[in-house]
Amino acid sequence: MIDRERSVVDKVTLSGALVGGGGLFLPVFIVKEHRLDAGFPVSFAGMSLPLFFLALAFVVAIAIVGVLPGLRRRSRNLPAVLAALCLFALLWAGTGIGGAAELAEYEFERGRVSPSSGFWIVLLAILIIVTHSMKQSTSVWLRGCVPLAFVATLIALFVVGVIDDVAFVREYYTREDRFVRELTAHIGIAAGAVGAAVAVGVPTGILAYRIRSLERPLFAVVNGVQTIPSLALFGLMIAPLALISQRFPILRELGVRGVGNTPALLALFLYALLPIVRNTYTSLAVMDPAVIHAGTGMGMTRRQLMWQVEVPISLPIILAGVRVSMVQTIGNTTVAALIGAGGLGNFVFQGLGQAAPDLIVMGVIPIVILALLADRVFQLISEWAVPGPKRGAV
Amino acid sequence: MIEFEHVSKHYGNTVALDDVSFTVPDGTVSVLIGPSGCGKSTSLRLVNRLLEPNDGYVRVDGTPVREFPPQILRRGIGYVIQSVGLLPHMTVEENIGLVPKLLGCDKRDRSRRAGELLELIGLSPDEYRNKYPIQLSGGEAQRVGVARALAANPPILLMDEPFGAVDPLNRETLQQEFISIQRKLRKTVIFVTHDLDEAVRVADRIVLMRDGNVVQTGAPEEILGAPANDFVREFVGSDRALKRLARFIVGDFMIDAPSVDRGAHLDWNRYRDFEVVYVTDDHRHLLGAVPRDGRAAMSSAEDAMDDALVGAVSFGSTLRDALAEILNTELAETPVVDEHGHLVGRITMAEIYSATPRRIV
Ligand SMILES: Nc1ncnc2c1ncn2[C@@H]1O[C@H](COP(=O)(O)OP(=O)(O)OP(=O)(O)O)[C@@H](O)[C@H]1O
Ligand SMILES: [Mg+2]
Repeated sequence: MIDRERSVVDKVTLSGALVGGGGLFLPVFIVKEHRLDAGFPVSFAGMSLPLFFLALAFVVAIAIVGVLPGLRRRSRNLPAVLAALCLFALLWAGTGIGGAAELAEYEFERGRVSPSSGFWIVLLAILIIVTHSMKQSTSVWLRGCVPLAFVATLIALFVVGVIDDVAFVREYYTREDRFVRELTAHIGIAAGAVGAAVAVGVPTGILAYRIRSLERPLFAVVNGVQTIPSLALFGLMIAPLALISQRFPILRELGVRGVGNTPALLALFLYALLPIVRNTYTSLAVMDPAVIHAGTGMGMTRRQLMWQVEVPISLPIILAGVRVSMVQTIGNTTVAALIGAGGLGNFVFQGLGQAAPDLIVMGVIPIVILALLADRVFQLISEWAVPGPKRGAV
Repeated sequence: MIEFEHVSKHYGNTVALDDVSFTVPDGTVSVLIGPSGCGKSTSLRLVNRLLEPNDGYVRVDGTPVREFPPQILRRGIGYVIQSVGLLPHMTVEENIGLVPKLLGCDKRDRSRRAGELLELIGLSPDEYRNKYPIQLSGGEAQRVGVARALAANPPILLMDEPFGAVDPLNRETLQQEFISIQRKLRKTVIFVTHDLDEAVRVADRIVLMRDGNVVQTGAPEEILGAPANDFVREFVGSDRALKRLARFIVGDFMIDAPSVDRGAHLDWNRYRDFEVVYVTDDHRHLLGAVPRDGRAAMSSAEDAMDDALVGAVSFGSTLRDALAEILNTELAETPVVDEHGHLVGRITMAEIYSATPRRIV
């Protein structure tokens, strides 16, 4: 069954290649004299023919991997991923360097290069190909390292200065100080909310498991919170917190107010609870009773049973919950900017307000990178912290 | 010594044990056997205080178990649980070293002990030491469960269907291993099984249970030879006589075997009372057999013999094996050899009958 599936053409990889190939014919970027200029679209071919053919070659390479099942199986789709990585680097470097050249040609001294439809479509194609390949991969290291390689490539290009003229990098340079502040705030808020959610969620999950009568009401509350749209939840925080802070001046001095970081933290914390409570509960519910029976029968004390049996066995499932919660919270923290909290969301909403897509993208890219990093790092931690045969050895 | 004294145990309305009494003498194996749900596992758990009786006493060496702190009691009792219950996050070696670790043994000793025990249960230490439970077959996991119970060298063993998931062939090997280990170590064992053949093989005494009651206790020979009632008779089955034979060792029943040297002339006048004469070499290795009606007047015994006729049984095997061997060959008897293949005796149908209780008609 599986063999037959593998032996036919890999439709996803192939359609990824088709999408990418199509994108190459569209304008990659628009050169603009200033932020609000309509500008001039430039395609790969218009920028440099050799570059265009090189990009096309990578797309063709991916397509070939897609139609050769033997190669795909032996190499675990790695050539497709490598070609996609090259295409990724080419896309960014081409936009950066090619864009700079076009700017010089148009004599737009303070001009900028805005990525356009072709750019986003090729990026989408790369995303399709890479996520598809990663899903098939059994190697933890590969799945951890490939996304990091993409992030590293982008950061390297940025540090070297190749993409300095790209619009959202330009936006970044005009607010470098604030960027660092908002980034720190974003990480701080997300980590604080998840940290608190772990501190509260794990005991809550244990309680829900131990005391059967608590299970239903607890999950009703935690699930219920998730159904409230995040914006509404942030809004709901404002009134009661404003009231509390008026009543208790000490709290106000500590920074508890209706708007700002406190309501954001509280709302994000409530959101972050569900995956942690649920996974903690599940980790206990699925534990083989024979294992507890054996531990007790061997003469373990209650405490030894907990630290030597229950915790190590449930840890991987709980960590998976923390991971989901972390990734979700990094995303949700963006919205927190609306009620006056810090974080990268401020750029996004500022960009929306000013109808400046470059600013929005500037805010979104680091959020995506943060979420990706958090996901991979947690994945690696749980692989490393959890004893057992390494995957692939089974 | 383990004693059950008028022990009752119920779970809510389910009566799992109802006034059960039996004794397991020091250094012997008592097998609890009976239909599913009759209270075998419950009995075991009363010994190491995983359960407390509602009534009656369970004593170890005369002291009621409730007077021992449960953890201390359990570390001194090897326990093989029915569902194996290896800890999934520990290697085989760590699983085996569990109780020694609780008792404060250092890592080197635990590792050495795990190696010895793996050897003992027939798993190569180098190969299995660092495996995780999900990498083991059901039978291998069960053996590791047995090794874990033996690790701290406890005087008492509770074994709940320890070989339940092992295939019949390996099962028999493990039973043999268990018997020979037990002969050396002389533990006080309660062994639970569903399998009457297994019970007959390993038991000093059998405790036959039904619905939380003890129906009959006694040596396997007694249970098979004199079933107390219809339930027991049905439980042990119509082949109980055959099963009973498995209790008897060939070495205890064999009689002298007539033999001639391979080079000698076979003179049937000297063997008038025998149907078969065995042929051996200078070292008394069994080579073959000459039946009375075979090729008679040849020059030497070796020429006359038919080596296809001999399969032999070892003197350590059971009368049941001997009977099977007799039915396999064309002769009405089977020769008995020692571990080197030396002829030491023979078993005929008469010896097999002699072990079977029968009324004279
Ligand atoms: N924790 C429990 N709660 C309620 N009833 C139980 C519990 N454990 C066992 N029982 C009941 O007690 C009776 C005896 O159970 P026990 O496990 O001792 O049987 P067993 O002889 O070991 O059976 P098997 O051969 O199937 O393992 C059964 O009727 C069973 O349903
Ligand atoms: Mg049982």
